[in-house]
Amino acid sequence: MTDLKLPFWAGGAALVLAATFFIRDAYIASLVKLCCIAAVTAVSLRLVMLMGEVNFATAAFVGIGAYTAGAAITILNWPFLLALLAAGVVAGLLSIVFGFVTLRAKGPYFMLIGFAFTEAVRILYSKSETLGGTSGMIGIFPPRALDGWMPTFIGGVSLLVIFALFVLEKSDFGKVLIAIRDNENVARTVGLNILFVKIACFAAASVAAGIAGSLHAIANNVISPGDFSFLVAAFALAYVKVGGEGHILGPLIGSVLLVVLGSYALGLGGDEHIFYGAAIVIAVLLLPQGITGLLTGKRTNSTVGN
Amino acid sequence: MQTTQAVLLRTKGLTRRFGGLLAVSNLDFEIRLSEILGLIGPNGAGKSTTFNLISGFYKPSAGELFVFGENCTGKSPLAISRLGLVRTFQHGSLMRSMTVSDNIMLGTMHGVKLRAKRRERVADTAEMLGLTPFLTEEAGNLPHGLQRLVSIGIAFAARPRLLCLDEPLTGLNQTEVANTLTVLQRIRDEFDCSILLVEHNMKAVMKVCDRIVVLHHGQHLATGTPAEIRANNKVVEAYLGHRNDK
Repeated sequence: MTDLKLPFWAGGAALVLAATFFIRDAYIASLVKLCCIAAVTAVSLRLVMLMGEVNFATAAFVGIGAYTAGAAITILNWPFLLALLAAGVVAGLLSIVFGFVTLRAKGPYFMLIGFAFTEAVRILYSKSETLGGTSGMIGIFPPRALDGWMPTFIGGVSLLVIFALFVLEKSDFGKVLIAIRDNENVARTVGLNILFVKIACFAAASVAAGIAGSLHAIANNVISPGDFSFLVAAFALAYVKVGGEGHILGPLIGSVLLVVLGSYALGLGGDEHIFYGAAIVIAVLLLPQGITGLLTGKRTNSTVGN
Repeated sequence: MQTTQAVLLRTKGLTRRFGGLLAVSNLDFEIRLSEILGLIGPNGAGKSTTFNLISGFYKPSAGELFVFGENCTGKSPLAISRLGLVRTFQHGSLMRSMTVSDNIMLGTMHGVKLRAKRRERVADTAEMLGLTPFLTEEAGNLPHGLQRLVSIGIAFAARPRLLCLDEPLTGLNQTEVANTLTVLQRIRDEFDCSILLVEHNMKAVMKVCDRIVVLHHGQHLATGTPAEIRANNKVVEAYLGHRNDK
């Protein structure tokens, strides 16, 4: 399967992981972790964009993953890796139920349902005493053995998840997603169960979002409902739009660029949100295909707006 | 003799109203095994509505629809397509951003589970339609005539028992029309696949169809072989113009 570009991925992953070995500065380490988590979230968002939907519920599933991992580690004392896996599984299973109900809606309606779901789930955390209410959960620590290796670990897990979604996109299943975006009726007339395909895509994206959430939990050690508002999805959308949605590298480039810029802005005492807003405006006006579109010069189809 | 042939699709009193408009009224017709059936009629005769009714995209207001012996009245497009009735659309029945190969592959996705077998099916289908040289091209970049063939290719890749084509010849030049008609005949003869052809190109319909159903103002006007239809006074009056034109 030549279209998977395995040497490219292996080389890129080796380079990134090797680079993490040399991180000694705590600030750089936290930046790397933020970039990885942002990238997984954005790639998850983009997977659903392949079938033409903007999935604001991404934010909810990041939160669900984070709280699952948090609860598994601090309340249930589960082994660390099992907690991460549980985060993906719980997010995936819940997304199947949510998707079964909501994926009959399309476009702005689906987007609004995701938005509402995210806010509803966030309120649920803050009302639950087990989950720490509005102050959230504390003490979500990775095992001692990972001390000093966190950027490498988070980078490795992120790359694995991103590569898995890339394989999915390049498979025949991925082609069906694009067919649903381009011409849903044709896909339906050749015997494809559109709702089933949409749920499968949504579930895969939500597993990734859940894992991103669990990484957030172990990277921060502390989570609170406020971390998982719809802004998580809005930022992810900015990463995808700035980086370009035509290729999976788009959300990667977008995440790294915007997280680094945003973090720099934070250091200046400014509000980093301004960067995100400006980045979206500039990207939409000047780079409709994002940075990757500029690099490849290829014509790609935009999801939003057609 | 023909009445003994197996019937793939039958409608009984099929009716569809849009508000006060009776788009299709009390329509009875059948599609038999290994035939190309033409569905013709002037604009607004109810051809497209009929097409949408039998493929499940519209629910009938009254009447019944039997596909391969099963009562499919009110069934979803998905259920009907899974029985083996696959349709195309008049406009843009393909994915413009995808390659020809990936387009055709879509038709194989439900029926063929193994990736390698799907590739085989795609290659066979492309060969049949003469699309092999264009497999890696983006479908949206192809000339109109080839795009029409790709649409047929997506549908035929599902290897339907009944292939329903909505105006597949529109905008084609004479060579392309002749080429497409040959493809349709091969699909009928080599795969025992029946074809329902909704088409405005009268010459082509007369040439390729085994039987023709004529609709007029949503009602059934006549059924018969091309020769019978040509000789039918009611049809000539409603549709074909003056008898001596031909």
